[in-house]
Amino acid sequence: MRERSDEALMTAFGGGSMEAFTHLYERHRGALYRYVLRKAGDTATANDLYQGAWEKVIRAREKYNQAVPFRAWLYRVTYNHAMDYFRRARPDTDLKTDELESEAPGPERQALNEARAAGLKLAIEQLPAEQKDVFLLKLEGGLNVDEIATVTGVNRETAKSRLRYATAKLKNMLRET
Amino acid sequence: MPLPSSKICLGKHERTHAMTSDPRDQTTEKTLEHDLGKIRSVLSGADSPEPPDLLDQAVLNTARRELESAEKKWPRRFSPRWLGAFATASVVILALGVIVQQEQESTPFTNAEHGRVKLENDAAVTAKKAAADSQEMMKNADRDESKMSRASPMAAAPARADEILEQELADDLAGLEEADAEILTAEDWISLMLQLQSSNQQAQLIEELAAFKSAYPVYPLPPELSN
Repeated sequence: MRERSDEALMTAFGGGSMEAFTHLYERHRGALYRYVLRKAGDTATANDLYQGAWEKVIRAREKYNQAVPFRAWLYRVTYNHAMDYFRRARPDTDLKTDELESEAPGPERQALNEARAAGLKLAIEQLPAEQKDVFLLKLEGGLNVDEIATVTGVNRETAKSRLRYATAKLKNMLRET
Repeated sequence: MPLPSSKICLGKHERTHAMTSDPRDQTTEKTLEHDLGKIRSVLSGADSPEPPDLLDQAVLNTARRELESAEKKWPRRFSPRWLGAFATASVVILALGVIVQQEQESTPFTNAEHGRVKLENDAAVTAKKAAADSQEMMKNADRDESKMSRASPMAAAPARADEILEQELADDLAGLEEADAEILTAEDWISLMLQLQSSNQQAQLIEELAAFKSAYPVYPLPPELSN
């Protein structure tokens, strides 16, 4: 049976279908969580942001317009929620740049270079906030440049340029390690 | 509830979008995707954090609660959408009803207007006719008066002329009787009777006098007629 689109599921959820929301949540939970986690820098903040973002999505279910791509909408809601959160929590400083806490290792982790992965995570954390946003939306959210531009409120060329700079920095880091 | 692994989620997110139709941009995009692929492979192998189960449950419970509270607030059969359609239909029906009712009311109103105008026209015609009649009667009365004033000097005229005059007077009197009696005032009536007396028409004078007394029982008669 053909899978229903995100947009159709969200519309069905707006109409009162819990089953539709469960499918939608399963599709996006991992990627959204990683995006929030890498953006926030710590698990506690990431959990708050993640739950808050989904609550906003749930409450806005009846206002959702099926013509808008769901993925871009979801990340825009999350991005705006995170921005509000950081403005309230840390008005004088930008995003936290501490190193990410180590998560429980996956089964594949043993086969990969731990040093390179840790270095990459650190490099992502040390990206300028604008580049980091764009990069994470691409990496975790899977958004295209147009969608990233819409979510972050910049024009397409700026979004693309930020993405290119971020990717180049991380690539250089990988080359060095 | 089994949730998909991080690998499946990542796979679903690996969408390749055509950024632009510009060949240079397409090359840049390919390079970018290639580099991102490398970074993604390192990261996915190293670390693919998932939301904790408790967080999943919290989000799903929030969704369930929201749906339940919405269901309580607006039961499905009385959903706001249904209400909206119902309200729209009601307004349309009400508007149509008002239009139909106005059209129905406008026809009797026109008839009433027509009736009123007709009555007014009839009244105007009647009034005009009455005015014309009254004018006619006034003319007749004037003519009679002039005739009577002429009759007085003719009393001493030859008998033939008297007869003719008497005949004319009789005719006029008959005409006057046929006309509205109310036109004659008491003074006019008395002067008429004096005329009859002066022309020796005793029988007619007696009749007129009797009629006058019945019409004006207390009106004082001149001494010539009192006897």
